[in-house]
Amino acid sequence: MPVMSVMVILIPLAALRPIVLSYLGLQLLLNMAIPLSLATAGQMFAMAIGEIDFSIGNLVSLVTCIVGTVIPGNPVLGLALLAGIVVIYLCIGAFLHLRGLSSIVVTIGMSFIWTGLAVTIQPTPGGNIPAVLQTLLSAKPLLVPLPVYFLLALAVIGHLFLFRTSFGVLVRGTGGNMKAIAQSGHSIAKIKAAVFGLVGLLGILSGMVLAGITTSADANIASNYTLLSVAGVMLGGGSFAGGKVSAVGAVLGACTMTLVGTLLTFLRISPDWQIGSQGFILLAVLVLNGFVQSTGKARHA
Amino acid sequence: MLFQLEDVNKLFVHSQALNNLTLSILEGETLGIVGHNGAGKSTLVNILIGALRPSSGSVLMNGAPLRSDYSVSAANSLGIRAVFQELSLCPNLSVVENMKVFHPALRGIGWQKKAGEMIQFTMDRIFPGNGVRAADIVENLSLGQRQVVEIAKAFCAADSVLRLVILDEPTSALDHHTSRQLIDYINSLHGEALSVIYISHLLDEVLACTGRVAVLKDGSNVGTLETAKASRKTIIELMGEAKLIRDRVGNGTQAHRREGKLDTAPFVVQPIGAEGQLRVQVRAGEIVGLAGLAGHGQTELLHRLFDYRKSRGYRIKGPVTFIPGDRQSEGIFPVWSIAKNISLQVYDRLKKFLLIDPGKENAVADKWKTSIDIRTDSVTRGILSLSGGNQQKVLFARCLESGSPLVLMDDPTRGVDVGTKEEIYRLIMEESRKGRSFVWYTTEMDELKYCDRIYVFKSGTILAELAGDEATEEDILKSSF
Amino acid sequence: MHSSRRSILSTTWLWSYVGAVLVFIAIALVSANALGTLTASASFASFFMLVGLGQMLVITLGPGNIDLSIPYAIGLTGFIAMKTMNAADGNIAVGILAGLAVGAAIGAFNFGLIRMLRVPPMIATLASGFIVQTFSIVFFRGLQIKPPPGLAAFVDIKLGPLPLLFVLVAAIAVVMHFVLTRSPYGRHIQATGQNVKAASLAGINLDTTRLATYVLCGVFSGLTGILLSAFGGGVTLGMGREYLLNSIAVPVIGGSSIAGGNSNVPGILGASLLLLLILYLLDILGFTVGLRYILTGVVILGIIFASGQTRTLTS
Repeated sequence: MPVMSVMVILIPLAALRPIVLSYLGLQLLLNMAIPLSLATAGQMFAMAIGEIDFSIGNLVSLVTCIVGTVIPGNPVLGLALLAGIVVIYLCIGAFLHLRGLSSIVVTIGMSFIWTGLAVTIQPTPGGNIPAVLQTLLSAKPLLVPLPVYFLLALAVIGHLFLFRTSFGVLVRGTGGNMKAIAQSGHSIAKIKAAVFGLVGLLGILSGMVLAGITTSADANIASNYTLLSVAGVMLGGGSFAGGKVSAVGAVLGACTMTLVGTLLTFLRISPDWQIGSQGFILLAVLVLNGFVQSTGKARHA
Repeated sequence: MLFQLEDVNKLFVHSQALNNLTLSILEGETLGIVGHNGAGKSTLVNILIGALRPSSGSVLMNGAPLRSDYSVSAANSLGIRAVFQELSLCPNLSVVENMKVFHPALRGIGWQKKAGEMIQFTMDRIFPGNGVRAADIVENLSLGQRQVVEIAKAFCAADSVLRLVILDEPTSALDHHTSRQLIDYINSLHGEALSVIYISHLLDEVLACTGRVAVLKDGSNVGTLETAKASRKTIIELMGEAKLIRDRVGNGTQAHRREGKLDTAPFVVQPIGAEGQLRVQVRAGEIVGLAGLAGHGQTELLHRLFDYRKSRGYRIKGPVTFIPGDRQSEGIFPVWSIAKNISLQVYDRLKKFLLIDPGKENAVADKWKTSIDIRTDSVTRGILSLSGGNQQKVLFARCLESGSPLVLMDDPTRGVDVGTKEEIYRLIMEESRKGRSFVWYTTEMDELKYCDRIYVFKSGTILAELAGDEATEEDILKSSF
Repeated sequence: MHSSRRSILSTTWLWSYVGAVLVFIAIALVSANALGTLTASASFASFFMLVGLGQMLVITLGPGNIDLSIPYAIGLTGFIAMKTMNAADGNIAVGILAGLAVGAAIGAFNFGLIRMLRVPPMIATLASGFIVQTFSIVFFRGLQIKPPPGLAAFVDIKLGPLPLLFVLVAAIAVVMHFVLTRSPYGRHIQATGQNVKAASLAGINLDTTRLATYVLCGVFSGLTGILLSAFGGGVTLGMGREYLLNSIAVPVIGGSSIAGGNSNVPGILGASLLLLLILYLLDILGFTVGLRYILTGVVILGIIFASGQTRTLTS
């Protein structure tokens, strides 16, 4: 399904504007997929253990502000803040298990702390993104544009991590049957802490990349990343039950969600509809998912 | 001797699961364990694998007492494992990945190949031709195939020597051919140092693969037979008596003989369609018991009767009310008071000017407090302030207050103290005399003496219908096993 | 999930009143116009209370139940209500009906998604919120719709230091309190939230209960949209944005259990006042918007952590 969904969007795009298939065209099309795919990968890890991060969009925005405002003036403080964010995420993961908390509410609470911090650091959009980031992200490697290399690398690394390392097995197992994992002597608190730490890390990377591409520090720039990342994971075959995720699917899902906006623009659908279209797409994904899962069950029953 | 248990007792809050149990498990033997509900089989297994500690008595392993830190993972590393009916696999992982979870020692580069070879070898050794591959995702396997994986997983030793594998109803999901393969494999272990405990209600299997059979009853070992000299008959004889259930000595209330017959009372539950199989039917004022080994379809039937509007197999005179046995997860509302827990099904009667009147609500609760002696000083107290038995009484009050002609009970006296049980039995008898019907699933043989008719369940179907007056324990056991 | 931590929760809501008094004293110490601040707080607190009541109902249904479409519902219902009224006093009744009806429809839509697609409420309401926002943007962006003068005047009426609006909403809260504690529907919500299996076995129709609750939450959002538009002199797209966090903060701080089954209406009033007074105090002291966000987030997290149940590291 994930490959199909990308094709469903890409083919009409190419039909409307064949020039998108050129080097420059692909780069422009897929540039914004880089930060979104990082955030989607983070969301994927959270959903793999049956949780969710409702603050990822706010976190990404916050990081653009840290990168654009704190780091240029005070790199040590900036890095300390980023490290602190990872530590907070580690603690969240551990406490979710130790205190039996719901990740929905906890991360909604976090979302406002992140936004509050972002607005305090950067009340209005602007900032001064370090040149090194900008140059890194406007690189033009051979054959295919940077985004394609990057997305490939992310998909491969994510897949290897989830499916070839023993930690990856534990993560997916925790989502599938937490009791079995616990009874085999593994510490669920440690697993959840590590996973959420990873979520925070990916959110930070996403924010850094986004800042480098848009050269903007803005407390609201990634506010729809939360919805988009959930849609991307589900498009990629993930489910809420936990345990069923695909790194390749998540990356493809992020691509699809990135391309949708462009497609709507090419179809001359007004930007007013774009926000709602994301909602419609998420719902369509959920309906399709429901279909696929129920026919899949019927086949194997 | 691998394990030696002597006079082991295990007490829970309101029940005694093991009662001076004495049993020995020899190295290299295959020991069968059989028993009815409440015999103590699961408790025994849990003590052996370190999930529970005995209340008193001695448990020796290789002559030495168990260490105080004996736990499931400790037992695992000592080579002692159990395979239960509830599957412990992660459905979204592959077979080999499940191995990884279970054997933390499998790590480092190349663990997948090593683990894969190990599990594939074991699966093919025990169940040749099973068709399961190490890379298969568990949820894509059939139930029988998953059981194959579970059993093979238990027989795999990654880093430790296997000493004891406990199989609890291992063939419940297997077809005949695969069950046979398991039996053959266990027989082939003869001579090796690995011990196997085989727990099953299928006596033929137990007789086919064990060297000795221990019969448990009410928490004790009532006899260990040499399999070569045992038979179905001798095992059942050990398990139960030929005495009439009606005459079983309880701790008080004797069941009263019914005055007048119930044969002409109107039907409350009437099966429609599909002749040729035994189906439950209930007349007004009857107490119908559902017996047999736990988990053989009784609860499912109760739920089908409860959803009577959707159920097409029965014509049921509603409304129907349901008394759950697991009060914590299915019965009580923990934040509410006793009175609020009772009034749920009768709001219409308690209204004054459109709103529920707390005065009337409390009056109803007080009525029940007195009539069935709910031990509390006020019905406005939170329900969690009550003991388990009294909480169960509240559930009875809730359902009986509703006035429903049909009351379904899902093993409602689980974990309830003896005194409260007697009070509950008195209540049921009284209500049935007033014309209420009860369908009562119970895991305790004793309680069947209150039933007018008894249906014995096995593997999801009703094998026998017995008249309450004439049923003996042996009758029930014969149909359950 | 409910037993041992009750003691903390059952007193938290009292503390919200205590806290409100303390903060008011602090305001009186630093500001010359403490009473004016109180009046303004009470006006805004009315809106917090309305969304808090709606969200509390949904949360009471049990873990996982939440309505994230509230901010967008506020916007759309405000637009539709004002457009229907078209600044004419004679249309006020129709306009209110229209706004409430749209709110109810959004609630029903939310439940439909949850039930038909079998999707967690947070995802369903998030998606529907975006769709609702799109309708607002597409049909109403840029339109200047003023509320009818009668309605605008009504929301400004003051009874001494207290706005009439506040008194009205407080009255609604009192009604909701009785609905929750003494009506079959209210009992059904609480039962469902405490133990969904037991509720089903006790004969409660889970679907009807849930549908009614999401619809009711939508109606509350609708009422908020209408009154907020009248109060603010018009409707803006981002009008409802602040209310998501506060719709969650108010019940939580007010002592309703986030795990469901235990709603606390008196706490809603105290928590709303407390939050508003804190915001005003921070404003007077010159704290930025950002810090306000952070503080409210921290308070919610604190309460959630305090009401969770400890699991030992080894279990």
